[in-house]
Amino acid sequence: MSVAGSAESSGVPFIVDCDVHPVLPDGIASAFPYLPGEWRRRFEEVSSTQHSFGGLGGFRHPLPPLKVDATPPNGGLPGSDPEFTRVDLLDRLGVNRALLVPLLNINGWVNPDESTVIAGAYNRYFAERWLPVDDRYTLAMMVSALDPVAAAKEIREFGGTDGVVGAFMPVHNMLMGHRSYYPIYEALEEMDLPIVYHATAAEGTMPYAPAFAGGTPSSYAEFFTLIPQIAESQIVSMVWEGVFERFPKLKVVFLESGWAWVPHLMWRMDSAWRSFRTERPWVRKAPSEYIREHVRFATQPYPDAPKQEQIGQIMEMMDARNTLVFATDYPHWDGDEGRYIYDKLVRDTDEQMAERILSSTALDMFPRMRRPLPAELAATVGAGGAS
Amino acid sequence: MTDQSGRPEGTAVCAEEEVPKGGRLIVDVDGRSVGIFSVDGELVAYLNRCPHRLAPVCMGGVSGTLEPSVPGEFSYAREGQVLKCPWHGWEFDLTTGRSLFNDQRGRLARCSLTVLDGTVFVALPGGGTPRPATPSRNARTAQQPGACAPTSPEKD
Repeated sequence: MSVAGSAESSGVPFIVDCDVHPVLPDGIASAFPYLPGEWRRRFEEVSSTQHSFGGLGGFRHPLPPLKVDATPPNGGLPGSDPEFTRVDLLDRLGVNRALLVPLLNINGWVNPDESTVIAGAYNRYFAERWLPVDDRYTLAMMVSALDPVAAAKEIREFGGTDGVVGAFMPVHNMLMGHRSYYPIYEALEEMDLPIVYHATAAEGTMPYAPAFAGGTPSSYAEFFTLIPQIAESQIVSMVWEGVFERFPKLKVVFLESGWAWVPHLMWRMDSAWRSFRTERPWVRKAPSEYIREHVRFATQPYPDAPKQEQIGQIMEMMDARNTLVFATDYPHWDGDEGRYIYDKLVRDTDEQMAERILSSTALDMFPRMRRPLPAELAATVGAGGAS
Repeated sequence: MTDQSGRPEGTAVCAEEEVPKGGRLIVDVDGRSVGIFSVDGELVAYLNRCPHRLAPVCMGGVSGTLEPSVPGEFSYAREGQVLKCPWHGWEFDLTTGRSLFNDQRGRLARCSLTVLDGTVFVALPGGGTPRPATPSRNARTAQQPGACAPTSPEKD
């Protein structure tokens, strides 16, 4: 053989290299032609969507996750252009205050310094590029809970910026009642900023992110269905650990986490409290009261209930007047935008409750949204709201 | 369909060749957005409004679909006949307007379509009486939700 021959002829020993890495010119896509049957179409379709949640090992979103009809005129990604979003969402729907919640899966990142600095960079990007574009934009600043001391510092330093009204804290696989979060809660309470909770799609696929109960689901359909699991766990934890006793002004809103499950959670927590109150005696009142006082839920995704009247019944059970806030999730695939949801909300409730859900409850929770932006806000940062 | 004078029902919206083979064209008919699709060589027209949440459904992808199958198998069929809503991914059979594999109410609202001498005429459902335009991205106007008249999805 020539190989052996060349080694012999050059006088060097015969060498076996056991670790060489060839690279596919187009990454995973180079292998698609070799996929069997329909798998090829499946991988190609998913790869052509704007992003795959959680990377290649995560949940592959079967639909374009961003609405194609929200594509800006410049051809950029839906939701990437503040001028177009102003026209396409704020003007078209008549939205007077919009909470910007930039999503990034830093709750799956392992390096606390990296997640802290990227969160800070996001905050400054949106303060510079979005908030000045329209007074109706407000921002949920992002913090990394992996370094709670650094997060608290960022909240005190940046949280007073004009237009910042809450803090988006991607949550790790440690329940929100855990005391390692308390430096963050202390800073939030001090700055009059509520916690904004939102899944990032790191859940269930990255070791530092929250795990799903029972095991790891394997499809996006399962992930989508089970998102409420994680929110439920957070609420139970915060109440029983006494977070709202320690931080009586603190509020938390669960975005895109569902809400039809809330009555069950309230009833079951109250049952547990009647029997096990002494296990955590600082839980001074029924857990459902803490929820009514401190926890809010966003309407999106609005449930497709089989019968019209069922939605109103659930709203009644969960005291939706005080616990539900309107949200569109623009520009995501399952966003509740458009007149349809508004009309449905009015049909499912009554005029007063619809008004609470569409604005008052949110304004109570985000006191800094009440102020005209940005001029008056600058002078009154952290001075408390109308709640 | 034509009236007694032989003139097709509806409004002339485009030339036949403007709708690409196997593709689509979104047009305005009396203030309503309508999608015209070329499916297996035939033209069909539907209101650009999903019966689920009133999304501009005609902007969705046109493809085939994966038929119900045994676990672990994928059976792709009906290439070019399935419209997938750009919001929630609800699938509709473009040849009938019916939704696929969906236990909720809903089908696309079909418009009557006639081709005469290379011109496409489209009439809105319900006798062609123009209805108030749905606030959509086709008509970008600032609108307070409270100012909107109530609507309901198309009845199946």
